[in-house]
Amino acid sequence: MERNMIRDDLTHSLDVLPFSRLVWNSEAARAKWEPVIGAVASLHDRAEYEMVRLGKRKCGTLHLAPHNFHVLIERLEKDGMVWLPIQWSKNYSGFAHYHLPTTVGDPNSSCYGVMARNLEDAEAFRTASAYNGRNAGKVDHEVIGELLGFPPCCAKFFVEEWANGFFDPVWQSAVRGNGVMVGDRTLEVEGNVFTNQMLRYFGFRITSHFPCSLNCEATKEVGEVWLDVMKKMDADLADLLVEILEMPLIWSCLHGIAIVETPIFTIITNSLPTKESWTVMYNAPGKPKASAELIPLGSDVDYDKLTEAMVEQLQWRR
Amino acid sequence: MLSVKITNALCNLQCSYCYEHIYRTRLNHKAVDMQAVRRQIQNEQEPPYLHGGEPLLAPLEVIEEILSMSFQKVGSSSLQTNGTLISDKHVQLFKKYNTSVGISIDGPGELGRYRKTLKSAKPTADIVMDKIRMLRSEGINVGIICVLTKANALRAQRDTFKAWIRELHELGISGRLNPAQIDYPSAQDIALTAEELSDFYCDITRFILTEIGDDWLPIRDVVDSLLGLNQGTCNFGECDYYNAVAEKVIFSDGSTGSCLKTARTGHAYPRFQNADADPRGFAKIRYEILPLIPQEDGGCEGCKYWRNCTGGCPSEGFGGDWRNKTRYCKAYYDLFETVADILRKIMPNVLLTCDLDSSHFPSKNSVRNMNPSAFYYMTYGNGFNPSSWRKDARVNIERCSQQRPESGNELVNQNYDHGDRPHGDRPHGDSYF
Repeated sequence: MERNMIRDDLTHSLDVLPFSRLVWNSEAARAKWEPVIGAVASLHDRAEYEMVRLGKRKCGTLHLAPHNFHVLIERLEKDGMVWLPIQWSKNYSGFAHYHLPTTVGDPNSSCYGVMARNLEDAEAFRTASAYNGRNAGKVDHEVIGELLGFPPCCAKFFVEEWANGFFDPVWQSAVRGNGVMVGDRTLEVEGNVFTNQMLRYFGFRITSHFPCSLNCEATKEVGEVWLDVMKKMDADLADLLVEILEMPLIWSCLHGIAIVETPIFTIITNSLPTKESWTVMYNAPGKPKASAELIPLGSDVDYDKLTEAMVEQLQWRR
Repeated sequence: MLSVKITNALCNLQCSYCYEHIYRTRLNHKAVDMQAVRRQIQNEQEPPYLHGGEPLLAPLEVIEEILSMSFQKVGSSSLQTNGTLISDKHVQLFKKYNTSVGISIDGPGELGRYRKTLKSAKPTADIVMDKIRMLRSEGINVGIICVLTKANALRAQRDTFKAWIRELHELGISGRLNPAQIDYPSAQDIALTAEELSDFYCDITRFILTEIGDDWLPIRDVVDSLLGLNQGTCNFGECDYYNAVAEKVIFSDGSTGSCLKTARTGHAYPRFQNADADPRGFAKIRYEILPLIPQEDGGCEGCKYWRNCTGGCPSEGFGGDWRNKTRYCKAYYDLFETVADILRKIMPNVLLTCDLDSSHFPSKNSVRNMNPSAFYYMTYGNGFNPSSWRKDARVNIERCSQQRPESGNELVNQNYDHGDRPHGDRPHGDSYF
């Protein structure tokens, strides 16, 4: 029986500020992945720009800060693109689920804005964002989603969940898929590299939107375009990104902190302030299952196997 | 503490409640690479001590090499063992390298029935007690780690348990009394409830503090913590779960790990990660959120012992989850209450950490550098008649707030023992006020 998260499942007074931390699960994993992990994690950010430049979508969002202003403006101009400001936002490290408020002149802030290939699209985005009170002060998420190239079903899903306070709707997306409840508030579900947003806190994602379910067909179609662009940018990095997104993982959320465990690393980040732990076990088609590769908290022990293993190891050590 | 797990998690007992089970099958196949182990020990500052699994499963020459490395560094060495394999040859090594031997034992006879039984006429615990007596007769230092379960910490077993503590006292042995952290469903029935642990801790604390007087943990930790002397062992301090360096580990292949109580999902997280790379110290995020979460939801909001306990060991969190406070919250709370009660009965004028607000501590998650000190009313320099009990010894402590105004005048009331009767509740250092 699927269980929906409701507002009473949250501690509303708890708001954990953005942070994302990646820890290696073993020295072997660190030795293999550390040299490339940063480049893989930034591939999506770079693809967001390319998707607009190549006309695969009308708009994209881009923060300009004093330290990168001159570089990005020059690049936009060179690529025949425009950028318009929307609002200032406090700087943060990690992954923010919403724009953090700031004050005028705060040096520790950046300007959130829209990039597009023409002013019309950029202005349409600003209007839909209720910039300077436009659109009667009402944000039109459907138009924003369309300009960003999001499937309508996913834009609608995200807006509804956001309005209910679920700003990181991993559970909500998973529970609408083909999952099986394997425990109280624990769901095992199959998704794919295009719908897997459980590693985006550290940058690992192909699509830039939250899917309405882990088997959303419209997201797969959009995702193919993104992946094609990424492969043209750097085929090796794109392959590594796919490899990461196909790994089985366990996402769990409790008290404003999500832990995402893969076979090679664990990400700790800010998320929903749930009162109890909610867990999604994610599998990719044709890949090892989370239940086989990873060990959820509270797993049992097979004592006979332990004894066998000990006897074997004692012999091996001789 | 630099723990060299030369046998990784390999153990000849594998007691059902052991927290090492989850990664036991994963780690044990690490090869033994003594060169790598030596190199890693040399890279570390602390002397190595032998741990496991069961370290005495290692060849004698390997044990000797590691004990000698410690001995050369600090003039002593140590190891933690279940005691069953101690032989005369080991004893000779322990003497040669001034080794302190930590023994895991849960009490004699039936008290230790959840430890694996060896093929012998005697219970394993009794065999180990014989080894302990032998070690002491040879003049070797011994400490105990006793895991508390339903076999040894319930009311019905209390008299036997106390008799055992008395015997250890006579042998010159103390140690620590740790609750079993059992997450395995099939072994849950041997774990204590928080109420049962509370009953044990409160009773045994009164027994130890008033009848025995030995240095047993966590009781010593709680005394020191309430007096603001130190935070105690890692159980009560801030811990980065993914880089838990209270126990720095070296495995048999020379690779590193941190405290293996955090390996609850099978990963022995290597050390030297980007733990505190960010100035906000996300590694300690647990200590930002717990004070904001209601106690009934697994947090510590409003708890008067927050800075003493900081939610307990993260691996002991409800459901094995570090984002929750310890599952033994009630037991630790009652333990702090019991010790506070005893200290106040002996010294009504003692200042305990829980008596002071946050302005008297430089850190919100620690008792360290408490100002004023616990013995403020009992020391010359602060009152006319320092006393552990006289009410007129109590003077205004607000000047000890961490946020006190800059006056330029530090305490100048150094000498006021002029034989006068106390007049008023303040000392003569008027210029300070």
